[in-house]
Amino acid sequence: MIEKSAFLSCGIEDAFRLFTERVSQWWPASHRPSKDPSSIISIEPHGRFWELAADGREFDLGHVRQWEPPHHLVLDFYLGTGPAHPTEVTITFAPEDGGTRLSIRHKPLPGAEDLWNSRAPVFAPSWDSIIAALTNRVTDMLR
Amino acid sequence: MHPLDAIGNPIRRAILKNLQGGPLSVNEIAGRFPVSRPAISRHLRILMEGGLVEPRSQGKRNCYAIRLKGFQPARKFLDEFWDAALARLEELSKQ
Repeated sequence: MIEKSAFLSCGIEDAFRLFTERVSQWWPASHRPSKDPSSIISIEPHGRFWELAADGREFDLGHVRQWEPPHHLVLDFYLGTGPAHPTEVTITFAPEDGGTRLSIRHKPLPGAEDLWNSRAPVFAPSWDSIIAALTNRVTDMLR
Repeated sequence: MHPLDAIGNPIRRAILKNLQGGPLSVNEIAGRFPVSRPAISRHLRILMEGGLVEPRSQGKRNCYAIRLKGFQPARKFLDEFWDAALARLEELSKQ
């Protein structure tokens, strides 16, 4: 489990909108499957969570599981482990001292624990299920 | 070269496994496989392009070693992701 938090200097409604509507601005360039720092990343209400590179390539980054503005968001997350073995991110927003406390809880879902914990090659680009399965085998071989 | 392409070959996976014991020279690696030295060099180049192996000189010997940065748990990769993302979110919220 990864637990982190940040203090955002804005109200809770704005904090939720900043997180969900301006993803392209806060998502680190170093962790974009496209390697394109100008790509557009979208988190759609109850739906798709994906990246569109300037050259038209699309990468699924996950899926929106729960969408409860402005307090709560749950995402299936493919970065690092691939769509066949998603992890889960719970994001909560709470008012605090004139701003908003943003909390992140990120954990592996059943089936992703090995990729989460073991020393495996890290792939920024999104994987498909075949590739993820291959990697599991390679990880086993390298143990 | 994508890391997955780099490990999508049985010889390259076997080379990685051999390098887990420590750095080896091209000749040492070639001696363990029934393939030519140029072929081993080619596999090593692909592994390097995939970020999984790096050159390492040991005295006068030019060796190759597993590049640890290319191998890390997803947890660490995502931990770094959130540190960078949250710092940026805090910054953006001030504007």
